[in-house]
Amino acid sequence: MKKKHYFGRAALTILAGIFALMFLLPMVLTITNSFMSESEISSNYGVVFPNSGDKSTYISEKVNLKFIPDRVSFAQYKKALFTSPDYLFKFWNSVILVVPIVLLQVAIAALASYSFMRYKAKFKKFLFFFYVILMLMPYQVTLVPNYLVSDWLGILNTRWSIILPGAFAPFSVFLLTKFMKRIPKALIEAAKLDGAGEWQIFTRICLPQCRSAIYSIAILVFVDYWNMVEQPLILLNDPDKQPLSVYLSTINAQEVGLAFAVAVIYMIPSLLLFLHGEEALVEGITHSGSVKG
Amino acid sequence: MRKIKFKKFTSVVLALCLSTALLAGCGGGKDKNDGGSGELSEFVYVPEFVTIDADIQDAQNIHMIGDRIYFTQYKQISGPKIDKATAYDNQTEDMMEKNQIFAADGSVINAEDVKNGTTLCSVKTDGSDYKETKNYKPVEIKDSTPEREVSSGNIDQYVIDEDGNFTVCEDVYVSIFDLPDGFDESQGNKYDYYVDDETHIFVRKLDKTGKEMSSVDLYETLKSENDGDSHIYISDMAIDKDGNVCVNAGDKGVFLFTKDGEYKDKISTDSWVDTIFADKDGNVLVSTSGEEGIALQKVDVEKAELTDKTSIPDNLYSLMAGSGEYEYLSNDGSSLFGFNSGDEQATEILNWLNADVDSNQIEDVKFLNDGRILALLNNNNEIMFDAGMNGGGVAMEDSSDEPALSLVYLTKTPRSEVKQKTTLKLACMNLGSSLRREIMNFNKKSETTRIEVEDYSKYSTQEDWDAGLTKLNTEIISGNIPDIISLSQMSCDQYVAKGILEDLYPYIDKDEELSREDFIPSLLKAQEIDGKLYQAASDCSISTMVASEDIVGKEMGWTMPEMLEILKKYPDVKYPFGYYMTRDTIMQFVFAMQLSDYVDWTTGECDFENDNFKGLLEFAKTFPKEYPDQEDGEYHDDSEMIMNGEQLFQITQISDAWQAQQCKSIYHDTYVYKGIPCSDKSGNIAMFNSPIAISTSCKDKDAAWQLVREVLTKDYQQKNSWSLATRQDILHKMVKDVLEEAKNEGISKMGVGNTEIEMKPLEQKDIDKYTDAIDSVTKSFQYDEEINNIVSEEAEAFFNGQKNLDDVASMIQSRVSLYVNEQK
Amino acid sequence: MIFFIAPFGIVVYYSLIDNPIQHNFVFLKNFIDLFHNSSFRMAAKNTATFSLMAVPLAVILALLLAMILEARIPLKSQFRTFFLSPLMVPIASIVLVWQVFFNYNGSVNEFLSLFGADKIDWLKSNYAQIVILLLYLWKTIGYNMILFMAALANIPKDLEEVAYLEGASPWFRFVHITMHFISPTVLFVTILSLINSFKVFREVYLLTREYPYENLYLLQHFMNNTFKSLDYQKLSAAAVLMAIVMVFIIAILFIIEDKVGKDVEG
Repeated sequence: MKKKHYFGRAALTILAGIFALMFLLPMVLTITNSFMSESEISSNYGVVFPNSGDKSTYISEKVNLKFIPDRVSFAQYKKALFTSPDYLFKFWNSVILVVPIVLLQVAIAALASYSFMRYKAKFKKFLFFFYVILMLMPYQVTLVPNYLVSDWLGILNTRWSIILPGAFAPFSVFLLTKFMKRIPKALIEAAKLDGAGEWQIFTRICLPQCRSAIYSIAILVFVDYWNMVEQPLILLNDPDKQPLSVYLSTINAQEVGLAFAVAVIYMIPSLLLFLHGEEALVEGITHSGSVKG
Repeated sequence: MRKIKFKKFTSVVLALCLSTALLAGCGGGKDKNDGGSGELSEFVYVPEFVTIDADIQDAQNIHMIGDRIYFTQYKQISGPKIDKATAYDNQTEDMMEKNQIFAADGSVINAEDVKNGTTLCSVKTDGSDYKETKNYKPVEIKDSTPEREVSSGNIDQYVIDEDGNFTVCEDVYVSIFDLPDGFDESQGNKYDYYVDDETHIFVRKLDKTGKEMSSVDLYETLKSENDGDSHIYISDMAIDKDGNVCVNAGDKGVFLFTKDGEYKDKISTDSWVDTIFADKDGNVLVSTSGEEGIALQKVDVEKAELTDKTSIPDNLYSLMAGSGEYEYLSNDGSSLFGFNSGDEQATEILNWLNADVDSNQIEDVKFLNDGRILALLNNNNEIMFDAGMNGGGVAMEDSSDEPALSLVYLTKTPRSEVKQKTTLKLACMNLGSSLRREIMNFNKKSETTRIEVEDYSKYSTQEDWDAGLTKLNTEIISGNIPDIISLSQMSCDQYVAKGILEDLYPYIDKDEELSREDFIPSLLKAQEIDGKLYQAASDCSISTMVASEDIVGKEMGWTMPEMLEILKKYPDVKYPFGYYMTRDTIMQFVFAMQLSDYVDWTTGECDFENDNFKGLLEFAKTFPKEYPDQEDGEYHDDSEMIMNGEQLFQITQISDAWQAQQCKSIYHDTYVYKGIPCSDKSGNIAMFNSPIAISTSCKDKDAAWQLVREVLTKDYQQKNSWSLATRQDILHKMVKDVLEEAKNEGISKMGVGNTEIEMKPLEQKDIDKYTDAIDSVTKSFQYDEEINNIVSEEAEAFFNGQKNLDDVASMIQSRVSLYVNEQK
Repeated sequence: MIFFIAPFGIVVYYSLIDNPIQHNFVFLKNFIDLFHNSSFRMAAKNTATFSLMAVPLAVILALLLAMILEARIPLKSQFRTFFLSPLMVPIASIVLVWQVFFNYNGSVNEFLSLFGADKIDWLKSNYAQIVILLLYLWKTIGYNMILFMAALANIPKDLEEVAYLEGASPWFRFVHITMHFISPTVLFVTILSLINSFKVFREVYLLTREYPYENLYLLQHFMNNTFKSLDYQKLSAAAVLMAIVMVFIIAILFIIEDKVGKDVEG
């Protein structure tokens, strides 16, 4: 019996390992390839991206999936960081767009979910339902309203046309509400008996209780918006204001090597955030997931 | 519970307030650029034209100093007075032989006796008090010999200091000949012995009467500074507060001179120096354009270097010294922009057209102290100099009787104070000059309506050439539809499908002067959509393929299989479509020109999986991706190759009838306008140039029609000589002229590649062929970028052998169908 | 909310008029046109098939993985990190990597050709949806898995013990205990997966642009393209229609959740 278990576990471990490797593959590929020189990249992937890079170099007949560069080269990084300031500039654009979105969205969501938790009415259920529907709508459905409102507010082609809708996006409300429902009612009742006002309950009890959830939501929102493409494409005509995510997808086909390096740079903030807050993230997800009804 | 809700409410409100506050802070700065999209601006500039009381026929180098305007004039300076307009009228053969012309009083004089030269003139800013600087004499080089022929001096540029003293840059050309002994100029052509020439640039100081105070010949200096090359074009000059003179020689750099005109130093630059000017503090600035964009730099005369580099927005490519509230001004041809250092973007001060000023005529602009803008207009932009050939070098002028120079004062006025007129907005992407003129005339004439032009091309950027068009389209969606649209780059079909454009037939029918019969029926038909005419086009060109009858037969029109059949008969011809024909070009012509064969926009059906299309792909595959490298560096002329039998067909355009003469001469009478191969054999396809249309939401359609109808009139269409007018009478006249000319003129020659061939005079049968080709037109060119992209992307896989023909055709079929149906 | 609700009224309005200039009320004409539009039908069909395929797979696979990881295997937390890694990779690189794999000249074809298989242009073939499905699963499973792991960890251990001792079959235990306890999470994960199945448009768009091979043509393509070509009526009608369908789906999910949730609590 024990032996069987042991084997079973080993098999499962290996299975999980294989899966994990598959999941990790794209990331590893991106990172290692970013250390290849442009000529190595084009010799490896020239067949796939015929328009890429300099045509003079040798292009192998077959695509050459390689994880270890022939020679580690920082040329792409140098180019991305020093030679063309565009990337850094767009990187900043991303930061300027995403940071306010994350902060505002989480702040607003915290308030909204709190009232969802405390305020009981039939209306609430409907409102929550509405939230979920809005959240589920593909971006394209809300596109026209967004566009019209932005136009109406005169913020079209400014960063606000991205930030404002982002700040009021329902995703975090949904998650956070689910989480807050978990806070023991007794805790709140006790605080109330002690004479705490709503604001105090919110800041003293509610927020500390959901710290991990808030953190995990922030990470998720960050990752999501960090990678946004459609919104800026439609609402920000001015290429100078567009975030790196948009720009990155346009250089893909022309400069594959560079794209890898820029992608790695672009990955760093989310990676840092992620590694730093992984526990919180997992915990946060865990709680929101196991919430009942 | 209520309390909680209140809390939530207040916090949300607070958050909102915060965002709006931030928003307002951010939005404020942006308004300048983004505002006014579509809506009319708050202020308008009201023009007041002033003519100058003097017979000024030509004005160059115009400067405003104080209350006077200085300019140079190239005019007659000696000999019997002549009137340029009549000098050559009725000139007889004999007179031509002797180089004689008529003087103003009607007597016959020698053209050589008439000497022209540059004079320095000035006039007050109110147009009065015309003066010529009486002591001014062009610079001279005295020692003119037969071997060193010296031209007369010519002013390139000048500046005037506050006291009215001039610093002038003038040039004199010296042509050097190596004449054999005993050369007689009346016997042989001196220019057979031409060896070299020199440009002598003089910097002269003149007092205010024009008397010379100092003169320096820079020939030797410039030659040594400039690697032995004395040829320099002086495009601009400026004088700094200490009197130092800075001369802009374009890519050759900036040359510096002291107050006394002594050469001092030279500043070399990597980039091109566009303009040089002095700011109000007396510093000389240059604006340069190079790879890294446009920059403004200060000239440090002492150190002979450029300092204080600042970047300037891309669209300000030729900065001028500013005045009023702007440090710098820039005129991009459609608008006047003001710019202050530190600004992120320039401010559009006014749109010339909307102020009734033809921007082509503007010579100089200045803000006056009272806030008005003074612009100097040179009306003689169409003057042609007919020097040289007639020896005397008399300036020829077109029949315009407007004075050469006029002034316009523009006063900024709130829109509400201006006499109320209905304003119609005309949207365009780059406005043609003839339409521009028509709009100006309209605005001057109409008491009730004004047309204001919004040129959306200004929104396009280096990165996105379509940004302007996108902006127009988004404005149209949000209901901000222009009254009139110049459809140069826009798709008429798409607008029609959205119901944005007005049918023009009722207007033509109502019009007292115009009628449908005025126009070439086939061209009118080709523009129709469902029996309605949504655009007015003045002219077009017709894409076709020309070939010899011996090869393709006499009949017009053919299908793809027929063409392939013919090709098979000539396996030895290496370049049947010319040396430079590539896959892309062939796809462009044979496919893009006849999209309607493959796509039915009304039913949404696409038909790519047929033999015609597959044949086309196979056919295109036989062409190289890029044309062969030219090691010999020789140009392979289509016509020459056809004459040598190295090429079978020629893709070309039918424009005016004279072009038929070329065909006739090249193909020895056997040419036929076969057209582009397509299934219905109707392969002569019209491309209309910048049609204009009225929108269905136009505020005053009848007024708009008054403008639109102009492009359909004879007067308007007559001006376009190089393309095919849409009116019958113009076609008839052209045909008549051509035949007339053929009768009267002798045989002329035409260069074809490296050889010359005789031009054959056109006969009636050629004209018939020509008009038959025009009558055969049934389609107009439809360009759809999306379909083109899909097709070329997919076809690529077939061309490089990755996929077979059927797969590619069905893939194209699938993707294009999606697109077409979606648009339905 | 203001950002969505008020304008949504405009969208509904737009979906009922003929064009933005004349504002004629045409009621359901736009919707009828839409149903007659073969591109829209294609898009709706593709979106529906993709979601129907993707969401259950994402849920089931994630649950399986979670169960594997919860089976007390070593390196559990490392694995967890690995599975979450797709969240970090910028979309552009995902697209790049997918191209390297599934291009006509890509690695997968290269690999398959070792076994003598013909080359396939994956993204332009009937397999295109599968390629995108893989991408979607790769992106979503990690996150879903963690949700399930949490739910699994919360199942009272004693209950399982009891069932085990009472000789319940593993299947019975799974259906009656595990499923019972994690069913709220299943719903939650389903909703999230549904959201993500719509978000996969980003990748599809970047991989294949506006007009992909027909089975990749999603509703989002339709809407995105009609937006670009200014066809507000069609877009609005499509958006309203989609919203209605979504309301139904969510309503059903909520009702189920309500029932199951009460069950669990009870």
